[in-house]
Amino acid sequence: MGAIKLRLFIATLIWLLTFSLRFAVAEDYIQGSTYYYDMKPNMTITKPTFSISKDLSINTNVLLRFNVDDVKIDGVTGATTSAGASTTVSSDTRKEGAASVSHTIGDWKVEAGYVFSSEKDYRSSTPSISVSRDFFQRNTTLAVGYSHSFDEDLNAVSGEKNVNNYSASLTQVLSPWTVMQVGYTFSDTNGYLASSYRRVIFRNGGEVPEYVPGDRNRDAVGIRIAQWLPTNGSIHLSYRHYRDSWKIDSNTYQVQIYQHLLKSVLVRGEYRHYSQDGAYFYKDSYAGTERYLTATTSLVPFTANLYGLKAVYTIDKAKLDLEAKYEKYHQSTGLEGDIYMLGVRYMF
Amino acid sequence: MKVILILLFLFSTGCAVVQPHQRETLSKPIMQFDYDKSEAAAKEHLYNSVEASSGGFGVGGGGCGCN
Repeated sequence: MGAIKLRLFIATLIWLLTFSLRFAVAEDYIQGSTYYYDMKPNMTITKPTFSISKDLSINTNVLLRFNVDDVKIDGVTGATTSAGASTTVSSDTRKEGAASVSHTIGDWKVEAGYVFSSEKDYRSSTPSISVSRDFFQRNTTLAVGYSHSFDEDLNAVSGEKNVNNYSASLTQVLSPWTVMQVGYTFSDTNGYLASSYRRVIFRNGGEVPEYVPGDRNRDAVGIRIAQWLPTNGSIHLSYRHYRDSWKIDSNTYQVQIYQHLLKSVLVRGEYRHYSQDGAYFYKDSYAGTERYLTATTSLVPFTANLYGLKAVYTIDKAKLDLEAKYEKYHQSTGLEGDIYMLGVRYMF
Repeated sequence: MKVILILLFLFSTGCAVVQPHQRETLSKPIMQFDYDKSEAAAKEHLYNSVEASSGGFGVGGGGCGCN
């Protein structure tokens, strides 16, 4: 089933590419990028991505994206967690495709999307729909959306997971140089929420698969602002507060500064700070009598920082953007990531 | 939550209707939220893989779609 979906997606991509070269309108692009993640202590991911955005008419846009995550893990992962986790996964390839169509009718815009991904032991597919409406001469936009994720861990006996996602956002133009957005998302997840690979090692040496609650409700509210700068640049500020029924609270702060150094050279500096509490059932070590046990490193309390620099060089005559990016990610758990990206975007 | 309420109050008091001909700056790519959707998706996937939180903006999945 996954292979059929993949072939169908690639065929659509080729058809759209052929079609787009004959009927280009404006703001259409083809983009190709390769990411390389060097995640210490022991994982690397190579991620080529390809996307195409095409206006089929003045009111209708199609966006297609495809990427592959080639994951390599040296040795056993998770052994560094204080809970003594272990896993046997050594490498995997994850393929992901996404398609969305948006159509504008007056002040209304409707967007339908679909995302699927597959790896040797996991499948996920997510259809989505959102509707937005402009008010007050397009100074205010209200949007609501819904998506449902059908996930399955093929390595587990009963590995289905279902996620309902609800979202709402308000975008407000504040001045000719400032725009703000407030967003809220709620999701309820149920089914198999553990990882079939992670095992918890008890203080006495015993070992069991991790076992976590079968449902999880998540709330997140965020605000972001984009402000034009008189230096021919802009600054983006965002804040998000998150909490869920596993008693995890988190705060995320991010700032991005865009600056044109020359007409054809744009740079972006970025800083992101993230902090979270641990899940209520997380422990440094388990006796074996607990109801829930986890070896998932993302459920422990930690802080994280990300610093990034991106440069875009535009060749007007060729309608090309050449992009390069480096980011440094650091978690207080010891996880560190060096992230590199090279990309090209062709406008037609 | 307090931060959001304070920011909302500060910015809501200066709200005025901006006419279409005043939108040139706002329409520039570097003023768009998630201008590069492909990059935004890659970032979201990374964060969802190594952190417990997700969401806050837009319609998306409830996790990383992976194990």
